[in-house]
Amino acid sequence: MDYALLAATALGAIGLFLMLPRDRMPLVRLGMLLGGMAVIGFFLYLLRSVGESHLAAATGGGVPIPFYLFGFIMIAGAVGVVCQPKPVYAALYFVLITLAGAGMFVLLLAQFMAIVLIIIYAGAILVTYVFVIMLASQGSTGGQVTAPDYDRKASEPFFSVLIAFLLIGTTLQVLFPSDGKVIATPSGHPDQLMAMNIGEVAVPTTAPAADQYVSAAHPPTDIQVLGINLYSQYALSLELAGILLTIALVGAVVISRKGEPKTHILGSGTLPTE
Amino acid sequence: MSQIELYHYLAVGAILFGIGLVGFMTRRNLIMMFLCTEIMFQGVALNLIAFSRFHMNPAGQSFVIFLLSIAASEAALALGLVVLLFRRRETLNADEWSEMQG
Amino acid sequence: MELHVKFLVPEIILLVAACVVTLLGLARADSTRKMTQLIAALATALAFAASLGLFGNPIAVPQSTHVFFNSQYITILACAIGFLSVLSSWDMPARGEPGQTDSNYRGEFFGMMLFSLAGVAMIGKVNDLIWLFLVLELVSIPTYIMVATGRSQIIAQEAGVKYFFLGALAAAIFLFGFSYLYGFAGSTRFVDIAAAFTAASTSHTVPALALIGLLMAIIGISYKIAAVPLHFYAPDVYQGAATPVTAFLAFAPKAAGFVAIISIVSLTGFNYASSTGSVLQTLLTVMAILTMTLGNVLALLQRNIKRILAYSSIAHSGYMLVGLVAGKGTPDSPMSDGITATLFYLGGYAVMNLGAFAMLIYLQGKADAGEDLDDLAGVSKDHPAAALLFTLCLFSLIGMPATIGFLGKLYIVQSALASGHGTLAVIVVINAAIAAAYYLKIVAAMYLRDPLYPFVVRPQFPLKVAALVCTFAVIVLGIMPAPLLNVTNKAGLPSGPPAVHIDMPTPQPLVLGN
Repeated sequence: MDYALLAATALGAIGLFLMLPRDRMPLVRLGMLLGGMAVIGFFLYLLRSVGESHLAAATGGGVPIPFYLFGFIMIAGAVGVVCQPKPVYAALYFVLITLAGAGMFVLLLAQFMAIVLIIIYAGAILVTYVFVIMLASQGSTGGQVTAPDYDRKASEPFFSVLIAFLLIGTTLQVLFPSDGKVIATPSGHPDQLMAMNIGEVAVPTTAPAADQYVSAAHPPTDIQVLGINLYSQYALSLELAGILLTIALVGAVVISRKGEPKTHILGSGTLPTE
Repeated sequence: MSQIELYHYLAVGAILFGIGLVGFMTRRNLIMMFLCTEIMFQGVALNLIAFSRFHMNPAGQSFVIFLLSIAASEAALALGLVVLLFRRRETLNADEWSEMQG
Repeated sequence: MELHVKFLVPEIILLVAACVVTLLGLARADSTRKMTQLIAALATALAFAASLGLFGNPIAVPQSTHVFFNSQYITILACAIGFLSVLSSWDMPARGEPGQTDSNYRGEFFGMMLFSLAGVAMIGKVNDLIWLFLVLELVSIPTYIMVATGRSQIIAQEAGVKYFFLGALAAAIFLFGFSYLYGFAGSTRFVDIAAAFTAASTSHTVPALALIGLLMAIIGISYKIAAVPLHFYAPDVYQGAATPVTAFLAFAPKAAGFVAIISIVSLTGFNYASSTGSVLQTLLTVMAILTMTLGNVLALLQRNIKRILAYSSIAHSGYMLVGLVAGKGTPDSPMSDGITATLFYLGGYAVMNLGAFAMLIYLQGKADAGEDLDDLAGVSKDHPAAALLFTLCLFSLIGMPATIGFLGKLYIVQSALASGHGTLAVIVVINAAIAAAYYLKIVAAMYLRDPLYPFVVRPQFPLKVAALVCTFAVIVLGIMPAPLLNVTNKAGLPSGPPAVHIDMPTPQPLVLGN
């Protein structure tokens, strides 16, 4: 049990609880302060654990600023989505999360996934969200400026924050055990520490030589490796993903079409039940 | 140069997942609820990419590709359902759609 | 590299037919749309034949290395129940609002059903986390669409929204678990994960991270089987959905979920003696006790028959979880095998539940009739045959002797006793007694009361066939369980020498250029 970590988690939970939307919000600023303190305390804890590990000592330590920057933006963006009463702003906060997430992916040397994340999430899914939000909020508020009531009040905030606190608390305690490693280091990998800088990664000499474009002189890029992996090991899954996308396409059309009979072409589209 | 541990990424992933869970349970706007599951998916994706880097194999990245495609198809359905219900009820409040008695 | 697709023939038949049906179902002409039910029935029958090995010999295909049962059993079950489901929802797409014309025939309905069935048929053959994730979604996503579009009352669309949003949450939860399992083993293949667990548990270093992964995966998938803690959606969704859809919901996601949970637990080799295994066993025990007790007690309070059957579906998930708690058992005493018992019960439950729902559909002549207990009052006077079939299925759900429900419970209890879970066995028996009360309430309403109004029934021939076949199977398999038991028993035994479905090159390390 690591009490410093537990304290930071609890602080974050209280901060989140105070920030959740409700009728009157006198303590939002306090919540933001507590939440900010929790995140900063958590980062300090991470820094300490980096400082203590032997590899950091071997390589001279240092503060991995990009990680903390992106991490902070992601967490703050998530809190923003959860606590923002207006859906449009919440969607914009979510764009922030995806952008910072793409940054994280670049730090993890998954450049292709970073681009995919931005294109699919920020570019496609979020735009659709914003469209639907516009469509829906136009009618529901009837021109009102304020958000509707159900957006301004959180339901069961205490209970939900408690569950999430238990979940995050347990996971973090497990992730940072007092007695060292959590999962075994894979063979052929120097240590459980991960390189930050792309230039530092040693390219293994055992490149997959099956492909003519890949040789020791021209090591495969991550897209090539990913593509080979996708179309060999996950070929069947790829087919299934295609089928699922088709089902969703048909399903979305079927669900949202209006159920007016063909015989009443000029029908208003309202159904008999209403 | 600076190094950073796998667990830092996992911690951020877990925190995102937890915050998304809070959002799903507290918000009553359907669009917001679905946005919160997307935050949870983001946490999972970060976990997977971090593990992929850690194990030096691309399986995690492939997993994220599938995750994204399923997230996209679920988003299509979710928005279809939201549009359908909004047309009939003129509200996005999940609590108001409880004609069934428990 | 060679792709062996021969073992996927039934699934491919179902998927191709699903695409055809979806296309035809959205056609302009009603006559084209109405071909869909026939194509769907033919496709499921064809797939059933293929799964039995009539075209080539798919039963001899290499089995997945990890799963401890004959995956073909699930395929056979999915195709058979799928065929009966198509029959019992025969006129379903034409049914809508009262007064609606045939031009609203929703032909794509059967397409969705076939997609979902293909997922169920495939789930036993899954040998990879990513594949498992996609197949679970393949089973679920069409059912979301079926619930939302099954009937045009707003109650169905609300049920669809509830089902879908909670389903997305459950997917996020089990994906979180999957991500940790991948992180633990460094591979998404079940073989590698199982090997990692074996290696770690022999050296007593199973990380807590892997344990969290397992627990989250099981809790997330518990949504599919409607078990505690993610069970609460079931009554509302079952009530809101059109009755044929409800019947399908009680089978497809549940079967897929149980096989998925068995696969996840099998990653640890069913080694409940290890520290990881004991935590898993505790989780499953708690889930089993809460699920069956909660389901049965709450079912007592209901008056709506679909809600009663929903709670009963929760309760039956609890019984099946008991088989999982009992685990593999020992090879020398086959009756102690809880996994076989669970799979047997799954098949039995599918048949008897579909029979009960088919009768409910038959008696639901008017749009919303036949849902309340009062609506069934005195059915036996006008429709003695229907009442009799319904009663037999309900008796089987209770677990009366000479029905398949009895044998299912018997095997479950036997496996619990053999593995030293006496208390659990007692709880199952007590629950079965509680359950009898609400099933008998339905029977009493049909036989002892006078009809409140004349019945309108749906005299579709396919529906009658489905109900008859189900009830027949309930009785025949209840007296002579040998055919089903043979398949499941073969299923229960370790599946021979390991063989990999698809010969893949070993994954290369991720190489990154500058």
